[in-house]
Amino acid sequence: MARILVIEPNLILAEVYRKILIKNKHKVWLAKNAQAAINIADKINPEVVILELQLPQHNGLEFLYEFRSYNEWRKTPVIIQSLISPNEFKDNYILWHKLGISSYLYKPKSTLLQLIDCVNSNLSLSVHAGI
Amino acid sequence: MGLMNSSQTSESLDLLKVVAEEIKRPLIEIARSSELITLTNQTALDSVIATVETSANTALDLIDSYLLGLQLAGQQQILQLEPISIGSVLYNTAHDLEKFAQAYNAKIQLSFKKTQRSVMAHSNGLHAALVNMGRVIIESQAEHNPQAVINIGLHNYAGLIVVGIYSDMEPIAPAYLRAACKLYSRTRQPFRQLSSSSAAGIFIAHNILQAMSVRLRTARYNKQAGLAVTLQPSYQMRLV
Repeated sequence: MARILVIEPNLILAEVYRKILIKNKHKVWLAKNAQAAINIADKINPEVVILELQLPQHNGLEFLYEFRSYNEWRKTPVIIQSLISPNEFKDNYILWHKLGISSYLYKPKSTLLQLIDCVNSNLSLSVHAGI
Repeated sequence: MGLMNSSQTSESLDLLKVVAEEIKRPLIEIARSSELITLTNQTALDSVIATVETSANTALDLIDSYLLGLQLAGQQQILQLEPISIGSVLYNTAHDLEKFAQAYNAKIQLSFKKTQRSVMAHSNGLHAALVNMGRVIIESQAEHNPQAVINIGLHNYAGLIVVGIYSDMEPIAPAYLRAACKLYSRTRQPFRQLSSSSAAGIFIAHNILQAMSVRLRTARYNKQAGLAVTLQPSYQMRLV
């Protein structure tokens, strides 16, 4: 069981993600925007973050800069699950690498099973790395 | 569908791009909600089916409204505005937004006097513009406010009738709206302060209203902010 922070502005999708993650025995917190996400992260110290880059007000990139600026969250796995297409994502690969993105899922093409696999593999990698 | 000039064609292609982006959202909702049913043997099936239905209708409406805008723009030379009962358009708008609002925990309220009146407009066009504007406002409000109240309002201003969709959102500056309507195909989030989406509904509404020779504008009503359109009252139907 892990503490997972899902940053997703779409309420319907956020609820779907919450249900499937709970079904897989994880604890889930939902945030609709970057500011709420930082506040929740401060309270729960997430083990994995699932992030949509297109957020209202401050976008996902701004969230990442803020999130990574704290020592305790420098190595927390962040999975990007976004409407940003693979081509656009690849264009900024160096930036994402710098910000420690562990996985990228393109929303229209990635299933819930892939999301769960991705969360679980990131968690086991964290355990092996001693994070 | 009438002929369009090259600038109209380019505008409609730009809008198509935004609509295509936007339509991914309800389709993803449908795909993932359906997957959730199979993965979890959902007992609360009704709520998932309601979500799927709402998302599918949103996608269909988006396509339909885009096509209506295209059709109206093509007919611009001959598009006839006629006296329509604004009350019935607003009731239909509220009815069509009801399920969508429920999916986002928002509440729809109609805010106008029953005695009000008829306006010069294209009935289907005005209805589609209001529904599309409403969806963007509902969705964006849900991102900020867990139990948003959305008002569909009507008031008189300088002898004209202002019809709009209002909420407790941050007011949009008129210049910001104008800029967004010019830039929509070149940025992913033209209303970043308002919404995480491409806000295609606003641009569809803008397109439809433009074809009706009226303008989408920002407005305030009953201490709420929103998007509205100013219409000419029709005196003809008042005599009937």
